[in-house]
Amino acid sequence: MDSIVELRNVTKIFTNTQGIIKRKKRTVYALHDVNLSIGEKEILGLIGESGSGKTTLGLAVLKLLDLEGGEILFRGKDILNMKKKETFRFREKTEMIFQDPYGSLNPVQSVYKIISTPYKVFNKNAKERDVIERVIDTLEMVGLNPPEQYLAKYPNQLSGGQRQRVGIARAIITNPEFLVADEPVSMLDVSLRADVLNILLELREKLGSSMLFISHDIAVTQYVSDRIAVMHLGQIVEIAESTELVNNPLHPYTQTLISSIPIPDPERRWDTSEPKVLAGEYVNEGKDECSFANKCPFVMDKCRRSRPKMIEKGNKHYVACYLYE
Amino acid sequence: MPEPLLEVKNIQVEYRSKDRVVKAVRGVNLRINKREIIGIVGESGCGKSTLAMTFLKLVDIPGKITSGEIIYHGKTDIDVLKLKPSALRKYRWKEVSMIFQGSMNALNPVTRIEEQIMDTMIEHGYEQETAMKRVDELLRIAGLNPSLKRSFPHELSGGMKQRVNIAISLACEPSLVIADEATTALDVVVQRQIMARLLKLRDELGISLVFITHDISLVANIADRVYVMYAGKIVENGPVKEIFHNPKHPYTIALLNSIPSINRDKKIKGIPGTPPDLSKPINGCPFAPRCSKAFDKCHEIEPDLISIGQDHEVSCHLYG
Repeated sequence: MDSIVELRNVTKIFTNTQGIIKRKKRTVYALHDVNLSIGEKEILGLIGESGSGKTTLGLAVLKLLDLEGGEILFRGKDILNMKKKETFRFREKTEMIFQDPYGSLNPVQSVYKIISTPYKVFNKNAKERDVIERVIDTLEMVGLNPPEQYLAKYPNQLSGGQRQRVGIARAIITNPEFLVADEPVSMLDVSLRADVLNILLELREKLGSSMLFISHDIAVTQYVSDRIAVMHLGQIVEIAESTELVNNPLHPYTQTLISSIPIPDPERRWDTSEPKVLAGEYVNEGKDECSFANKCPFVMDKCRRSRPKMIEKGNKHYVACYLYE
Repeated sequence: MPEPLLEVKNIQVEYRSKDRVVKAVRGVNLRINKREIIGIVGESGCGKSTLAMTFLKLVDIPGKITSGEIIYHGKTDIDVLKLKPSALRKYRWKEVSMIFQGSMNALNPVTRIEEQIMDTMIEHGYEQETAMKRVDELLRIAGLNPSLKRSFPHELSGGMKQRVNIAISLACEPSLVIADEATTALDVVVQRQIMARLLKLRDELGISLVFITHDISLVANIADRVYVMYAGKIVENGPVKEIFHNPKHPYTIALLNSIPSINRDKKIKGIPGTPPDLSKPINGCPFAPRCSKAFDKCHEIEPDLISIGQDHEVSCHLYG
């Protein structure tokens, strides 16, 4: 499979100073030596707990962050060393769908203005009539029918689901080749989520774009994604085809995660024992060790001595854990 | 025969502002039995949180409970809505307590958690010394190491703060705990830990629990009986297996069809339209405009809740 985006040994470090009297610098590896590739027309799901670095990864692949190490290739070109003109083209081909449909739309701009702006930026000579046509087509594509009715509306006149569709329309009007969707349905009511997810799946068919789908909801991620990557404290610990990952999780972290998902069937309840993860709060300080070592019920000495490599366990199922070496 | 602990009869709540009245809860009947776990599910704005507040008579201006009755069967029967302020203070937390939505921010940031737990007990008549001794036990029950009691809230993670709130909710040994979206903001692993903890409490202490949530999958996992709420009313209620395997109301069915589950190769479908504006009069069934099975009668007459089986009630003209 050809890849559209490739991350090679990507590392992003955040530092902050703590303490008023004794000033102490704290380093957090939000992304720790991450390797990942996203294929053409592929939807790659990225799951993990809050603080695992999912959003940081999403920002990094869109060239919205500086990195401390590694490189990111978009169609074979290093995005971090692009010239101004190349960057401009890159921005046209990549877009983002945000989590918060209430905060990510300008409240004093009409739907038409919000959606047409990115198109106008990249098509400076477009005639207003063509722009209107284009906006109408895009609104139709995200299921806001009849589109003419929405053009003059303002965000406060729309429901959460409609706003998120406007956010998606704004992202796809330039026909992007690659989209990052960061928790696009987590703030929507359950009854509205399904439609937004189905729209994302339809868009892939219609536009042929690839997508990085970031979410903490595994059921939602499995529904839209071809493959799923699991992140824990800045490290990718497992990648596999979606159904394979859910049915046959290998990494102890993925196993805990999958077994904790509530299934909407009273006949298939959790067993009532508490999950066997060790307690405590940790951050990744960049040590050469497995990021899950501190919480893993199967931890061995070597897990803290060096970090396990990603190995293939058949069927394109990759896992980074010494239990499988 | 299950013994009722709390009975809610025809409760109505309005929120009033200068130019409009929002009827948030429009006549709800509900029963919570002893040692029972109840799930109340519905979309945002359906009135589920407001309903839960009435159990503690917590609705405040601009909200007003306009009619109804809440009977608590403790040592004696208590008519909650008629309680005088002093009696109400004794009822709250000693009989019924609550874990609030977003309660990770419900802790005082400048007080150690030990003091916050003790304050609750002392306010309700515990001796200083007894309260101090009880803190360790409460933290242990909530699944926290008692050595954490000297911590300030900011030193704890979201899941740990939520456990402190569970400890506070259990401080005065209530018979009923209401959890309003108590784990919505937490990771699934932490959520499962906290749920396992709460289920254990039911078995050990014999308390009843009410879970208010939009997460239907979670309710399937923990509840004995489920109430489905829509536009300020209960549209269906019954034992959890009935609701999930034999749902009757088109809204319940649509809700179950709209959620993805792992390893279910079914296309999910959203529910078209939006819930009605509760500040405007509602004619007929409130779900009719979004319902695929609606017929003429649905737009004219609002259906009543009728019994259609063992403990299973539904308000829909399809069954009347």
